[in-house]
Amino acid sequence: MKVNGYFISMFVVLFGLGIACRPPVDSTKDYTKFNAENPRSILIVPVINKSVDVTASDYFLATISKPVAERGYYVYPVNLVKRVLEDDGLADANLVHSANPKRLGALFGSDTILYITIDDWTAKYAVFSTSVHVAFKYSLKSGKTGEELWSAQESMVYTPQSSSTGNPIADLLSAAITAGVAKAAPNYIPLAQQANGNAVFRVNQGLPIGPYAIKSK
Amino acid sequence: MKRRLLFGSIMLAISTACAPPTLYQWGNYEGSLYQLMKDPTSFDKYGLALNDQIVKTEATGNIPPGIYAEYGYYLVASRKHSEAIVWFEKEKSKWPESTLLMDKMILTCRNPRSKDVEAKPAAEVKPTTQPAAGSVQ
Repeated sequence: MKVNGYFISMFVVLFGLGIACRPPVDSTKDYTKFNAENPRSILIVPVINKSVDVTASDYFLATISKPVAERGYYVYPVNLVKRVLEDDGLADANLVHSANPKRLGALFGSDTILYITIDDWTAKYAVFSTSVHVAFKYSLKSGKTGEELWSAQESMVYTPQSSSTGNPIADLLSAAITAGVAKAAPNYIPLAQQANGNAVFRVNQGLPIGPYAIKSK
Repeated sequence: MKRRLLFGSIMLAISTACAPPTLYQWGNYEGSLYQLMKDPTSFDKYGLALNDQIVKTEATGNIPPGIYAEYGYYLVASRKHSEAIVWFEKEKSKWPESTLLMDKMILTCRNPRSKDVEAKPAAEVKPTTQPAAGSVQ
């Protein structure tokens, strides 16, 4: 019986691991509202920044147009949009996000508005390895009805990987160097690009293929 | 080791999977926008980069949405309103989705009389145009 109990617990653990390791169940998102509107254009407004890094929201804007446009949508010029909103007294992203989506839709003529929140944008320093963390929330709302048509969350962690030399001391040294480099200027941009790409392109979860991508196929 | 290899190969797979067929030629758009965000006084550099990208891409490929309009906005900020109109028109004819916004931009270019429209870009541009560009380069 003792042996049996051991096996059962092993089985349970392995089963649990099996479930834990499997990618999240690939249930397709509900796209009924999205498909009903069939949007062609996406207005990306300045992002809300909940991280401690004050520069994150501006830098982030440089990484989001490309994946959304490559998915096949018209993306409004993000810098122009930001300036126009500022001129309209909407310099604060919180204000923009709390404004009625229908108002923004009417102001810019956009089918939809993409609201993004930065939840995390930090570098965590340890002695021998520095990791960079980003986490974003995405919400696409209709410019006509104001309803949410699509949403997603993405988080990524990057730890600089030094290629192993086979010599433990040399490895330790190079890890220290990469940590030092990352500490000097943690580069969030590639990570943000990756996260945005994943959010937009993920099968059954991302944005549906847009009109310009369909045309070109 | 194994995990590293796995991570590396996943990253490689992701990067190669996303890399090849793009709809548009982006040039260094993301890089130059990042630089502008980093240093808002480098607006002239941003304008030059956009112009460079437009010239190169028009010759060889497909220009991404928003680029003409961003360049037009740069010209507005540099108080070159009549030049800006040309680029807003180009954005509009290539991307009909932009019509409403572009018409508004064109309207403000034609009537820079309304004070807030004229004053803001002008104030923005003063520190960035001639004196700053000269001293930076």
